[in-house]
Amino acid sequence: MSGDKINRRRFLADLLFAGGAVTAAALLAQAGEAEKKPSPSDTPKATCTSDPNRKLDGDVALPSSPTPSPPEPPLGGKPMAPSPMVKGEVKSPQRQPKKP
Amino acid sequence: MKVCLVLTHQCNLGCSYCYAGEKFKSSMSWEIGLRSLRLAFSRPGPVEVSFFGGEPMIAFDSLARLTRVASTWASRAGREIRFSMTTNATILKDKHLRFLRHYNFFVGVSVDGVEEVQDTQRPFLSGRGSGQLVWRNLEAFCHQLEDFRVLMVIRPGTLESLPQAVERMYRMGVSKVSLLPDTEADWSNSRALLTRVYQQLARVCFLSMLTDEPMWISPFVEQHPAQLAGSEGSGGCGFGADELAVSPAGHFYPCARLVGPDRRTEVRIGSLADGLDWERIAQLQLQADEKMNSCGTGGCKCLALMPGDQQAQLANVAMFTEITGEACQNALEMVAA
Repeated sequence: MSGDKINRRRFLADLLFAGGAVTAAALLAQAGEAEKKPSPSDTPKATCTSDPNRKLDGDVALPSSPTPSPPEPPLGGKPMAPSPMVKGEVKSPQRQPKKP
Repeated sequence: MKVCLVLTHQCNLGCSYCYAGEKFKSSMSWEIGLRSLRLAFSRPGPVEVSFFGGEPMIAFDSLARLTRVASTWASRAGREIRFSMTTNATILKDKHLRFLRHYNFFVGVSVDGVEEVQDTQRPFLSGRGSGQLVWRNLEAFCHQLEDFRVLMVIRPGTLESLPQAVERMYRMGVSKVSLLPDTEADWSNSRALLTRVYQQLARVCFLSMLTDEPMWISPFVEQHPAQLAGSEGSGGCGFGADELAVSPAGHFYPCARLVGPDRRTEVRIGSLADGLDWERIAQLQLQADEKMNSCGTGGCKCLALMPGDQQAQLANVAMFTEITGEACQNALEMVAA
């Protein structure tokens, strides 16, 4: 069974099994309205084409200054002391070596 | 002629209300199957071959072979042929669906309600529920078969959730449902609920017939003016005249529902060995007509010949006929409003 049929069934089931509220006229009216609407699977037709030479009214305003970045949130907790050197561990250079 | 082959007495379900009686491993032999098919072709006109059980899918190999033979005979003789089957929807693989579709089978699928109802009413012989499996297979039927019918045995305990089950079937894609009352059940305390549920479903049926996706619910659809105008008003089946059932042992019955464990000699109407007993057929038809007329009911004559308390069963049939009529009248007025 197709997806369209399943969708149609779901829609009608909501009306048919709604209890005593729905009347024949209401059912037909709603079912008819639904038929007029495109199904979700229909591909919409193109409604406009873009023209690269077309000039639009107005201009795009560029920001006069760089957008400020939000302030960095403060880090919580106390600063940690550097871990002690362990014997045999390779120590990375703290400073850049001077160029000769 | 319509011939129903009861392929086996065996069934994998243990339905609490089953009228088929004792289940045992006794299947129709190839010889009896072929002779039954010859009987179906023995009279002019369209040929109808149906398969019943037990569960006929247990004997799928026989079913498939007999179908192929009948189809070949029909093709060679230029005869119109139709195949049908009633199944409990517990044995279903892709190859079965392909086969049923290829031979354009009309399938009756027995489902009593939502999973909980199905588990209680139609458990496997082991006691395990069949609901989940059956609903999954029902969905497969919806996707693969053009035309099939859901057969729902209704009992006082299944009424409450019946509209829910029918709605779910409709959303799934089912278009034909038959409500089959368990006439042996005690309906004395369920009349009000039955009336409410039947009125709702009759309304759904008639309203849906106004749309492009109708839900044909029997017995309401038969009461719709559009259907009444087109029908011949015969009701019921051929009952031995142009329709009969053959048991696995080769005995004839007017209807597959009367075969049971194949021990009720009083409702047999002959056998493959002895041929049709026309005197017995006339006698049973008269007997059934008298009983059905006495309670003002119509429909299948075999109701009057079922085992058990026939008087109570016919009283229930009369009650259902009355409630169905009221529900249809109510639905028609609502649709016309």
